[in-house]
Amino acid sequence: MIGLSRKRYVATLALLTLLLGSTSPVLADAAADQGLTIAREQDKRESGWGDYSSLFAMTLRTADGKEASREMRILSLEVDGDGDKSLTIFDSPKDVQGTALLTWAHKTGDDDVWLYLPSLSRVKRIASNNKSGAFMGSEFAFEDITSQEVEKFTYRYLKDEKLDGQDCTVVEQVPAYANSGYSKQVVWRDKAEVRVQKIDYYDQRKELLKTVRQSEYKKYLDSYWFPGRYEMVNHKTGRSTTLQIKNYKFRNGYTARDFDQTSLERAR
Amino acid sequence: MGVVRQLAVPLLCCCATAAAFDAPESAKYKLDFGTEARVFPERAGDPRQADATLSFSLFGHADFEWNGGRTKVAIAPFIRHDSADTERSHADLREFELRHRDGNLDWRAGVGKVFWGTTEFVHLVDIINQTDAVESVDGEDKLGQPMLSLAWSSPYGVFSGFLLPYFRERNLPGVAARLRAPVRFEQGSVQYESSRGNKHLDGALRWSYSGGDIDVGVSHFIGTAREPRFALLPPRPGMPEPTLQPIYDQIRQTSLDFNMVSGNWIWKLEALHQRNRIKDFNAAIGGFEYTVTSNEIDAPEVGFLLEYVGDSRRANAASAFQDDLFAGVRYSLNDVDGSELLAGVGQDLQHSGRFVSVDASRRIGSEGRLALKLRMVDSKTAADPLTALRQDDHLLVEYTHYF
Repeated sequence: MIGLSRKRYVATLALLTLLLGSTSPVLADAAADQGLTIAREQDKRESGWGDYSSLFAMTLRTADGKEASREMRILSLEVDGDGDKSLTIFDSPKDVQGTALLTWAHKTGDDDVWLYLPSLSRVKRIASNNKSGAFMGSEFAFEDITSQEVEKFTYRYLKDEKLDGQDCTVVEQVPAYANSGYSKQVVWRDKAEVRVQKIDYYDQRKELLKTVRQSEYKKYLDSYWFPGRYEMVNHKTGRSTTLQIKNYKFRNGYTARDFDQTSLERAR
Repeated sequence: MGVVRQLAVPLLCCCATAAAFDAPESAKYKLDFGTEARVFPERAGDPRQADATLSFSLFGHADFEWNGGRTKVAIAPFIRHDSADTERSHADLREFELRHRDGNLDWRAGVGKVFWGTTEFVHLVDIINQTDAVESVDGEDKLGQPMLSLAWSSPYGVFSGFLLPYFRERNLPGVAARLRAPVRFEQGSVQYESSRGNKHLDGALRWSYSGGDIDVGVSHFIGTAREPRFALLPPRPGMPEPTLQPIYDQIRQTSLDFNMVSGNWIWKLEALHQRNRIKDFNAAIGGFEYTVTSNEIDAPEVGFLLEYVGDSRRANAASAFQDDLFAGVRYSLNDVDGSELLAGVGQDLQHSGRFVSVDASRRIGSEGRLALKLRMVDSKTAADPLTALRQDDHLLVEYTHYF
């Protein structure tokens, strides 16, 4: 009796192992592959714009409706085989007017960041590992606004879902870099053009922290969709930040020269 | 001067003609209006020195652009009125500069400001601009420097040259001012080693490179020292008390500035070798800045700084910082008001003197900033230059409105 039951037990175990231990990784791999495929497709569609300049206007809102604004000019350059280079020049608030930030993003490893302080005429290297910190007191963390490279996450396709009447894919992505404020992000992309529509951000306690909605997409250079508006809500504090992007100008003929330290120094 | 004229005049003419006939494509204006109060709780060593000062400053900025941003003109006049110190009531043209970019070349002509260096507590290698010593004791404020500069950016770094045709004397606190030596400074007369005085043509060459995890710069300066020595002048007709007269020597200085980022750490080093007629010397400052990371968007950004500065002249060094250890903490709330705190302590390892500085500031509305600064010195050794400031602990409150 004991022998039989043990045999049955072993058989059950073998079956379970077969089902869970081997089949499920295949399913997981399929979900990972599908997630990565979607992220790569988005990256492919968003590659090739060359360079752009734009105006960022942020409105910060507290839970009780108090507002503050930030304005900056952002110039950006695509780099073959690496992350984008960008130059951010602050116009408001006025105490930081003329301050500028030069970022050389990398696909893996920390980005290179320099800060220009106009009052001292000083170019200063700053640490870029504080990725979860708030950008200018807004609900955007530094990691939300830096160059989003495919290599910076691992992916898992979750499901298809309709969002505001658009067919979307829902993909979970987990930051593969150190010091992220997020345990995971859940990203809705429309199936038609593979544009990010919504991201849920989960904090390191795995609780829903923030949601961003991206909208007012416009097509530039006949092929690239860029959003005109980001609406970020912090569910824990009730604070929110609206980022409006205006005056996108593409193919300005920028080169790496426009994103070096002497350019940072003369940016203003 | 001849060289300057040969180079500067055609350049100025080219750009001025290009610029003069075209309205700028971009024009930006800004005016900073500062109101500052300082309180010195301890009684001054000299009864003529004020215990409290009120001061107003205006700092204008006008920036113009032509040629798609390749040609720029920056104008930045500064003026301060101080209730106590007639020397601190002063005006300076911080910038009046034409910048022109031509491919890999960057020209600068006019009055401008250049910063070299990586460390926080002391700026050893920064030498192009004279310190505006009546503005603050920190040495962070600089006078505009007339210059002609050309920088060539290459894959091997940036090679730049500077011609500095006119020397700016350090402006020194007046008799009614705190934060000065017990003996008053001579105002209006200085000694120069060079017979050309403040018209001596100074010059500098620099190579700098930024990439990967490092930033490095090597510079060589030939000309008038920015840091004066002082001669004690005896009482004489018209001046019933002794005075300290600045002496500006001719120096040759080679320097290195370096920093390296590694995760949370930024390692920093500045070093120099100076040749002069009194005594050649070496000086260096090195240390790190460590940024604490967190996983919270609401978390404040916290950084720790530690730096050591040494000078081969030891006790004979003109600087108060010849064998000193500095420790500091930077605390920024990352909030809407941009609230920041920087606190530091400096310990003189040779003279056992100590200073403490605390800077806190936050935005008020979207057009103003309120700053609080505390400076305290504890030093008893007569040989330590810091000892002169031992009764000058003070609290400074400043509100700056930006128009």
